[in-house]
Amino acid sequence: MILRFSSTATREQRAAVERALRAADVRAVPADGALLLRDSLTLDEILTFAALPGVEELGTGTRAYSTLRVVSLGWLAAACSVLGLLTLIAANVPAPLGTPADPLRTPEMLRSSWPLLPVHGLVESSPDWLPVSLLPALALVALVLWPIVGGRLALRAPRLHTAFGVAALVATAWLTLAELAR
Amino acid sequence: MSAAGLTRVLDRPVLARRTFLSDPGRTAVFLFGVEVVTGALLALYYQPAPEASFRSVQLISNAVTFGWLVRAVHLAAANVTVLLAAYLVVRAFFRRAFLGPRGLGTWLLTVGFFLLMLAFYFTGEALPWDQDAYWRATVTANLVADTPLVGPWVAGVLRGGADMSGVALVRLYAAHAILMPWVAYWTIKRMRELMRRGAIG
Repeated sequence: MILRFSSTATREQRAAVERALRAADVRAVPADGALLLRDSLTLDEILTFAALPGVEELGTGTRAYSTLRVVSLGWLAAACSVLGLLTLIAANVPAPLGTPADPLRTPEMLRSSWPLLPVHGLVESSPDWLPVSLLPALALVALVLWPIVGGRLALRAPRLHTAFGVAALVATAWLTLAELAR
Repeated sequence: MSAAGLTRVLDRPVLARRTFLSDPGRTAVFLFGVEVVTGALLALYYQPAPEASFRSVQLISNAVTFGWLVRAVHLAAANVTVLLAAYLVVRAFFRRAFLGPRGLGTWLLTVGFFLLMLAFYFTGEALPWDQDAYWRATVTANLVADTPLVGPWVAGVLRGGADMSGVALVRLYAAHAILMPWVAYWTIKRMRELMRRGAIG
């Protein structure tokens, strides 16, 4: 059985729970903010321990437990593969360094950084009578405030909401490609 | 610690969790950690002043042992982090993660993380102060300056004047290496709290 402490449980509450378990002769193995108990607790014991302050749940547990060895080895393997992949990319695509900056000499080919490609595409394709950065600014505000702007849409018409998202993605891709081709 | 003690610690039961690779959000946070480490290594040699800056990056790339590798890893991880952060926003949109009691906070943190990674990218990109870096930063700053209402003010603060100068370089570096890492730390911390409470996956 697993006895899980709530995240707000104080040290005293945890100690009190452990004392109560010891008094009832129940062995408790600590495991990541929880205690592993034997499965043969009586109903009275379960009700008593579950009612102690600081206890979030006491049950057979739905979470899987492992050992620190397995978990940390998995983490190490994941870290090594990510770092290996990064090193592989880095060795093949070294960071560029051109000539020193010269504010008086504008380069012939001026390409913005890639995350800004769709933004520049939007600037280029907006009509002349609009301030150049109005559409990107509006898009940014809409993105940040989407729970307010589109919350009702997402709640009432989920499919329309999804369609809107797909349209926005397609538009972004299209603007990026248009800007790249320019 | 004795071998038996070590074995006991290693066999201690903990929550079985999948590695950070199973979740793009946690992968992004790991990559951010890579950025912090490689960035700290680069900061050992980097000098934020117009001509010294280019020379110091040249030194890192050509003379310092494995300097080119650290710099290239810093750049590669930055690109992947921006892509992952964008993916997280898209995923939150389609999962409608912004609904529900903690939805607004979840959404603001996700979008905030994305915008923060973009800000890291744009400020970091200018630091080598070569032709490409300088003119890209100029283009980005002009775009910011054209934004209605707050744009001119933000661009003025970033550049420290009407155009890109030595002041701008110092400000970009301070934002990239001191200010924004703190903001990122608090953002990630808050995200982890929300994850622990099960508000985000």
